[in-house]
Amino acid sequence: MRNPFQPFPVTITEIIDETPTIKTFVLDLHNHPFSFDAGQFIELTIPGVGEAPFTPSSSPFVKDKIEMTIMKVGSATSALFELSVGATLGIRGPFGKRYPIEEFEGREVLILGGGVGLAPLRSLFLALTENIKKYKKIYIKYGARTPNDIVYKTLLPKWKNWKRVDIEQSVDVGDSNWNGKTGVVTILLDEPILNSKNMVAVVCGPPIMMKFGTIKLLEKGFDSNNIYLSMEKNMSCGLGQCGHCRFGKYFVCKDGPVLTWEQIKDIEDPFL
Amino acid sequence: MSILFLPRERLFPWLARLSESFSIYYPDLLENKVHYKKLDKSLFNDTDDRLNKVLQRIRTAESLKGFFFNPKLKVAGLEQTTHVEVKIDDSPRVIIGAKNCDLRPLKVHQKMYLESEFGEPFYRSQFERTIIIAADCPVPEQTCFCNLLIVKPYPEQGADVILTALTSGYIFETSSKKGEDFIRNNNHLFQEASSTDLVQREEKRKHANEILRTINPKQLRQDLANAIQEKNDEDFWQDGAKFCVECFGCLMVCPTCFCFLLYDIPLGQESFLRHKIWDACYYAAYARVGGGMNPRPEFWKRFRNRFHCKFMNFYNDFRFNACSGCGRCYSVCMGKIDIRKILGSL
Repeated sequence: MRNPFQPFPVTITEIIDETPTIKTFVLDLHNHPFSFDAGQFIELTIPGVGEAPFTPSSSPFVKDKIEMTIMKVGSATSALFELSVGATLGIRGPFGKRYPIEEFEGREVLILGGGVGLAPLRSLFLALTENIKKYKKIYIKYGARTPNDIVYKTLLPKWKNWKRVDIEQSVDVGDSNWNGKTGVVTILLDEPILNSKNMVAVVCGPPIMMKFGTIKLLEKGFDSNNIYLSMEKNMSCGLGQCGHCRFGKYFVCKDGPVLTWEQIKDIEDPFL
Repeated sequence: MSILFLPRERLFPWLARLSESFSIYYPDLLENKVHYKKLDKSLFNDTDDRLNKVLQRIRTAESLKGFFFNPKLKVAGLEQTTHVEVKIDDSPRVIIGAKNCDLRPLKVHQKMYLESEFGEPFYRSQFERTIIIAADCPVPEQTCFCNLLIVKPYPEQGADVILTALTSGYIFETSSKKGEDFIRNNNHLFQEASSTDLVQREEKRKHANEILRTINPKQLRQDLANAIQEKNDEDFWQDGAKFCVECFGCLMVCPTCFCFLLYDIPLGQESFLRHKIWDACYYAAYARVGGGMNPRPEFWKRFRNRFHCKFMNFYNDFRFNACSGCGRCYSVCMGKIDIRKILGSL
């Protein structure tokens, strides 16, 4: 039996500064028979410090490397931010359930991201755009605190030009160079949304944004089965064994990390 | 399955012979508490009577859990880009004297680890190398409440061999294929169990059930999972946790608690050893995430989570409770929090 606690070593090949607190780490997957589906996550080992769960932000169709856009928030990410190109990390996984993207076919998909929450959604976006004709349209509604906090600054304008893709952005607080919308990301949902009942919404961001994003989507007529939420819990083992990510009747590492609003709506304080 | 009898004076000669092929663990008295001890052949004449007496007592102070799910176990590691070789002792062993309240928890761990998608090779290996000779619990004590959780005071499932200590000797009943093979290969001192022996066993079991009914006369609600789910008022759980000093002893002695932490110890440049260590959901940081959010920041919520886990979530998933009524949590509790009272007042 394979040892599920053993990570395999990978090398950092590139580090991209996204914002003052967010970096994208590119890891070399040559010689590793590893693949994942959009929605799944991995456990990333920072040798000697520990493990933390991250969702890849690169396309699941790219096999020779994996990218993760990570915000510095705790001890593991602080140690990660000290590392340079050439350093070794460990990977276990992939874990959790994938997005059921076949169910998105023929429909409009609204991707609602807040801050670094756009990172895992990028993986889904790239998986969808790989076969873009299968989907009616993909909307990205992305909010960041300030223009400085926007991730994928060079990628977003490129994606905007792709067929069947529509991107709108907001920042909570603008600066003198900001010409876009100002306000929390939910203001991007203020415009009337046609056919929301049949649309799919995929949400990832800080808990408060997830909460108000969900409320707004429900107000707009989205079906609770069609609202997919990336739940951030303490996914420690990834195997559904260690207990830390217990969330109502679910283990987020095994049954999530993406769960629909329908699945979690009865859980006490789901966004805590 | 076979039912055999081993005369009392032959138990230690039999164990002594077994110890040539197996490590043997048996319950023994230490400062008036029963603990597992590894058999030392040179002491067996001395321990003969003691074992018979100890087998009349309730479960050991520590549960069987640690034999299979070790408190701290090296499970992985990297030395720069090379996997650290993790070896585990797979030599055969026999554990004698475990009670039924320690067998149900093994079933909990099997559901969580062995029957999960990824499996758990370390637990499996510990399990496969072990013969469990479980024993009847003839005289339950005031801390015992297995009867409230539909667990009998004698082994039902989960043992390889079931042992009943009678005055003149021991009944051995095989209870698994592994146990059957084990007894067949080591039956040199056994004889057939007589009908009198079996009647005696039945009487002892009946008596143990009666004691339990006297200790715990009032059954718990049948819809315990629903009752817990509906019990959302903070006052109830605050009150239940009122005398808790947060030592977490209850969770550390609990035979069913299955939570663990993967803990990495640095080994110099880009190298580490990973340990799997027991963890407990009462710790404030247990469910906290990197960004600082915590779904259970208040202690009463963590206290309630223990009940959610054992009697609601686990029951809903597998149709049995992750508690066997062994009473260890109450035995070690400094605040004398009695889980029976909390369950009984739902």
